[in-house]
Amino acid sequence: MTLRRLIHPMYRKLETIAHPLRYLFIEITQRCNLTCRHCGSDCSSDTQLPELSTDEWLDFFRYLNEKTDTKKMVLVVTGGEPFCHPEFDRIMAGLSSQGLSWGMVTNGFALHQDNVNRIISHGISSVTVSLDGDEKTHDWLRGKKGSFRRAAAGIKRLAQANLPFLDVVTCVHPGNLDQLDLILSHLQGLGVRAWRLFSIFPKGRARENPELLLSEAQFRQMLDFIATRRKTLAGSGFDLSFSCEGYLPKALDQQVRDEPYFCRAGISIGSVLCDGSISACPNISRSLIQGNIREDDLVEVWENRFQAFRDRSWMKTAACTECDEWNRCQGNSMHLWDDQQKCTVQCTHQVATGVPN
Amino acid sequence: MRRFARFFLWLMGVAVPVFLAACYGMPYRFSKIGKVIDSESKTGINGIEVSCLNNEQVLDVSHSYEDGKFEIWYDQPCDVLVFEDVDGEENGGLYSQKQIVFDEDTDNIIVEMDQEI
Repeated sequence: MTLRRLIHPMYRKLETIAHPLRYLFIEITQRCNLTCRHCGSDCSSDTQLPELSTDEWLDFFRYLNEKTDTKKMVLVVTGGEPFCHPEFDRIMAGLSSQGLSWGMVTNGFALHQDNVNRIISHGISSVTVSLDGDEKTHDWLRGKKGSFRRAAAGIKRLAQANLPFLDVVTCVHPGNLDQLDLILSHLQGLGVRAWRLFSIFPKGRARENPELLLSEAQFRQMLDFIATRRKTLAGSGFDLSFSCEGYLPKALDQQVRDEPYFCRAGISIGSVLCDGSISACPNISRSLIQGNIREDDLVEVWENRFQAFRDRSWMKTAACTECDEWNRCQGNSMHLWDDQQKCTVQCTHQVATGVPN
Repeated sequence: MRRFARFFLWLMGVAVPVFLAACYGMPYRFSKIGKVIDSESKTGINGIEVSCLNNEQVLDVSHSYEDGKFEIWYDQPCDVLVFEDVDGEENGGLYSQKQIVFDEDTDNIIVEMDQEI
């Protein structure tokens, strides 16, 4: 075991005490140009929420510049689909004029050359694009014909633009589980150097589409794929990993991730949602919202609230109560918390081992 | 308590790099930009190797561009930056190695390098 994995529990405790806000999601809109079957936010072409106006976002960026150390924080522009914001140019100009480091998460549908040039001219440093299988499978999941071709072309443009960071994420489901090698070679052909895999979890629209959820055996098949290919890809300059979601047995965690599992929600990761709500990651239950930038001071909220994220003992319910893994797992990733059931929707440790804890 | 925690986090930065990439977020590391120039002509030097070190362990290595500008990516602050002419007489002559203390609060680091006599 490497030194970093050995001392990671200590590091995690210290980061929880220090809770530096380093990674702030800004959900600029819930509008989206696709209707993905697994969407955790249930986004659509129109928005149901009273979204912040562009001027409110610009005021907020000025506030960040004045009240935070912008050199130690990055903003993650997300949605919905950021390109669907009617004034995305003004948003980007506001980010760059306030000296904020920023990146974005996109479905890639609008990544034509003009848009790639626009984001680069506004100083973007990192982009994550989704690609979920071959053309038929991707278009099916994303709910729009042509979405695969446009995402793949956009990814190629970004790879050629030589951004500091670019990665592709794939939401793994039973329909694309056997296409992972195909996706890998496709991404390599597009010039991508980093690929993250997720499993789809039963929240948002995915709850109504149970055919998207991996069985326990399929979940293990996905992890086996990652572990095996990481060995063959070692030293190639191509980075493949399982996403940060889900606590796994220590040995397996080491095989599928570069960094040990650590859910940083509310510890160093925060978010401002499209209606101004202050939370941790955007896909976390709205019951855990800590304030709203329309009424509250973000820094004050970050410093003095968020206790539910930094002391997770309240999540020790159901099977977690007697679980030996609790100290390391702490109730699994926060976005998997189910408000109705009052427990995690999925014990990824149990799924990975096939043995009840 | 938080100051203590932050200090130890900084110390542990070498062993536990923080490559941030939240669920459905994009990957990111923090960076610092600067420029390497010739101490006499004040022009940028191409091809200087810039290493970010913490406790003598290398966290990141990059090279200066044609105009002397460089960018270094780090997870936790390094304690020194080392500038080394790795291409010898190419790119305007042979320069002596230089080391500066890393200051996280300084933007646009300007480093002057002397030619070896």
